[in-house]
Amino acid sequence: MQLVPTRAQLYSFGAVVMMVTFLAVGMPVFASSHREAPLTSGDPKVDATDLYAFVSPDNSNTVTLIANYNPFEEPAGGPNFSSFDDNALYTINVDNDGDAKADISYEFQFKTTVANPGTFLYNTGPINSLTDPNWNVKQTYTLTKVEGATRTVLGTDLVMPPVNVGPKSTPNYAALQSQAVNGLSDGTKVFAGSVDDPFFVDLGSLFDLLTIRKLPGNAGGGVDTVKGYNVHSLALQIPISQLTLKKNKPTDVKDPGAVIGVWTTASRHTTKVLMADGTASHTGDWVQVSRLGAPLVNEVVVPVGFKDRFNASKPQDDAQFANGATDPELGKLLNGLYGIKVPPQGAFGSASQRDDLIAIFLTGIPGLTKSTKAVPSEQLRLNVAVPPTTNPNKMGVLGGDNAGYPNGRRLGDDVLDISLQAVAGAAYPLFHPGFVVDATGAMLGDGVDGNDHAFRSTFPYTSLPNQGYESVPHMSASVTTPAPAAPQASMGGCMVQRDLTLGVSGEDVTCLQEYLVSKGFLSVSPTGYFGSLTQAGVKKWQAEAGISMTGYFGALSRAAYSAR
Amino acid sequence: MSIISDSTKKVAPVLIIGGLIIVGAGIIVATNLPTFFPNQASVAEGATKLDKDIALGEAQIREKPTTTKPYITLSSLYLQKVRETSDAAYYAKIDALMDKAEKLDPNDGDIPAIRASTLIGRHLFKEAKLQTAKALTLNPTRPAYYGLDGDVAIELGQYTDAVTAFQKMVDLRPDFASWSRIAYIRELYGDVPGAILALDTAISSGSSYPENIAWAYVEKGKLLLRSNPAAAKESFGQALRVLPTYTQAMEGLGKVAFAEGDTKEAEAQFLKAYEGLPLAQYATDLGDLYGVEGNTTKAGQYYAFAQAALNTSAKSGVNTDLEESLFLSDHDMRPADALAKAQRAYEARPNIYGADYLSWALFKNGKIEEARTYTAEALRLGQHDSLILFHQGLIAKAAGDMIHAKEYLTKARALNPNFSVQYANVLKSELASLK
Repeated sequence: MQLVPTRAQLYSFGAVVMMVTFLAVGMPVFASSHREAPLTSGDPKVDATDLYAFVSPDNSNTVTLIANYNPFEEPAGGPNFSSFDDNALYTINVDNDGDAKADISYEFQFKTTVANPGTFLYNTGPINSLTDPNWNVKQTYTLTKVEGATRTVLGTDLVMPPVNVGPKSTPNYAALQSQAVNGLSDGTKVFAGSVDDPFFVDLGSLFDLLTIRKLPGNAGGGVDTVKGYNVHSLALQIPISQLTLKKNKPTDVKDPGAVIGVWTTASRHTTKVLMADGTASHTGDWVQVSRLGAPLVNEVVVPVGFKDRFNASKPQDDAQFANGATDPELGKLLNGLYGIKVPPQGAFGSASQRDDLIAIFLTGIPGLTKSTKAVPSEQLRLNVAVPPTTNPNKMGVLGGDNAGYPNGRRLGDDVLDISLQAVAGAAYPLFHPGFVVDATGAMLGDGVDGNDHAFRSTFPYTSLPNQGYESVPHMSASVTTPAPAAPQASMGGCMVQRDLTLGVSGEDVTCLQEYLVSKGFLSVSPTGYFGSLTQAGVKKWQAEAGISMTGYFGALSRAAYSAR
Repeated sequence: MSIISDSTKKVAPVLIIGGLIIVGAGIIVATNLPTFFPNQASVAEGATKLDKDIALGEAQIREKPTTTKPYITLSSLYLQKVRETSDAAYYAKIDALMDKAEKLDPNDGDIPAIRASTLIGRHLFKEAKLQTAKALTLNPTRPAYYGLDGDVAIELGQYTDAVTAFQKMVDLRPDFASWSRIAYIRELYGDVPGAILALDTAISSGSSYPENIAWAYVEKGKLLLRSNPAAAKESFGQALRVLPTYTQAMEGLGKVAFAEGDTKEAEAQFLKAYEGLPLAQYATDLGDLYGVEGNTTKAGQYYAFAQAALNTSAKSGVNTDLEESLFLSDHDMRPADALAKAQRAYEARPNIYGADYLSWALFKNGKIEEARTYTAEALRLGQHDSLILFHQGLIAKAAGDMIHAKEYLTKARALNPNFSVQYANVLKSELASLK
């Protein structure tokens, strides 16, 4: 996760902040005048939100790697927006000797099939199993393991669960999801699909100004911005002996061969803009469009303005970003805003460079996550010899629990708090024993201490995705419990049972319009289409009914009507 | 017909300014938030994610940030808002934000890039070009800057520069933004299957904004409408499934209905589009439809609405010379004015449309030979656009060049018999007269 809002998790700003969006603007007054293509879009399907790597708590012979994509996935957005991109290549990469190059990669490629091309519906009835004929639009994938020159297809047409449409369409979601955990012949387990976003963060408190609601931030008071949203998750559980340098299961924590580095990437093919020979398709090289390893890297390691370059870059070339870690902007902010006495910081190679952050982000912590070659590179590093604990501390290494971040990352690790405190200098005394950590700096946090849903005890560990409730929109981040039965508004003999807003058509719109006409809020004949006139009428009615004049006829409006 | 007929007179003017008012709802949502933190604020019913993001962004700006990022973030959100509402009033707000951001960091390439976006929105392409060049100088690693640079190049008629810019863009980052641009340049060069494939790839890539996806389905629908109205209808329908309020898709469905001979349905769809967003474009559709039906009174009414909407756009700082000259020429209104606007537009946007509309305005002013001097320029990318071919065919005919008249008009019809509500039948009869 990145700290200050950026591309990934914080995509509500991220889409905008990080990939920056200069959308070419404005609908044309005439279509033929010029074409205004959007200029970005946040690119959520290849936008990695978070990467996790930990020794599996219920199977310590294996490591679990989870890469999440598609930030702020609306449970109700389901079929239209929640999928992987069929044209993208998703990989989870493992470097087992510290040379900043992938030794083993797992490649995911997706394929969408539509069972009945005559309908665009996601499902035509309840989906009770992964082979249910009611399920119309499904994605499957191929998983390929790449090790050196050897490519091994571990599985094709691997199944995914549907998105969690809601209680009518996906009544027994847990069963559907468990059917989508694929056991592979080499002992690997794999899962791909929608899950509750395991990350927890207070975006408001971490926006550019780093406004922490309740200083220092280690005692609650934050609001989890990603609560109630889903992500699309890639999860692997792999025998440790398949991943390590010596192909063993190391037991000595001091063994540099026990350290693996992990990062995830997504790539797409480029193309030729114009094909001189008149052919429509052309498949160019793969272009890496996103990259994620350790959380917070975009704040600490990657300078502002270099995000595109970072997303396209390889770990082996990370020396170019080293100054970001040795002289972090965030350190200056903490000092400037809160007067926290952060350690000295300066350019890479200078006397004042942040050795602690170099270790955490670029080379690994000696004796824990520093591997054999330790070529400086941004990866999430995990020492697989550290056994899982039954009593994890969310502050990980800073909390005395070496099985957590920055030794790998577990779902429950509070990486925001850890990272804030680390930048404030919490680990600095390891490298500069005389340094006294600032008292406030050692307690910094966002006030959000855990996920809203409990994690599960077995693979893939993440919580089930939030339900779409058959397309009730995500009204605010606080909506995580089932939406209350929507009040029905009765108007004469007509019933309005759903939200009505601009663009909606139907008999219920006619009902609403007839009602508005009868009350003098609308002066044109009912059309059954909710346009701007109807909206204006609803607003007038809302003003008189004493509810906020949104022009949107939703649950509040129905309730207000019923109460009359 | 009955939908708004008896209330047209009082309704329409409201609708014309409605484009600005509709947006107001979003802004009220944004500015009425009582606290800094949106999660604690009661977000108004029906607020979209974009509205909520704008609310947070505006709250952020009130804290007087010390970095450019919040200014850029909010400007970008406003730009998306303009896409969704056509409300040019946001440009001034964005200008003010960029002025502040520039004081914080004059070397942030995002600032000229945002400025270029607002200039493109105002149709000030030469001015935009300076800004895209500046952005690329400050940071040549950003794919988006190449996208903007290519957009401007297309409008300035520098097509090979646009190809180069988009090639650079897609090589840096294949995504929705680059694929949708590739689709347009392929269309301009006449590669319709390649354009459709690029749009499909864009749609597969996805976007954070439903509007973007709906936009791509509409562009695809327009390409399909050339030869396959049923497939076009499906694509416009997809756009509406993604975004039920998307007026461009309603307009598309209206054009499909017209192509299929169902003028009643065409009227209903155009009216829906116009009620949803009272753009000059939709008023013109309606005027043209009533015109071909022989209802000149209603046609005149809607043309008046179109003119009023154009005036509104112009007042808000959008240069509408090109659009208005075509509108005037097409409807035989104020020919001298049409020509003056076409000449100014051609200066500002020397692309194939600038050349064609100038040629068309000259023709409508009886200056046939002068009109002919722009034919080659209008067709310099090839014979790929039915409207241009239709104009140039009529001009050739007026000049007595029956060979080219027949060639252009035949090609126009072969490419897209559904290219225009106003001219589809005219083209048919012109062709018949040439046989």
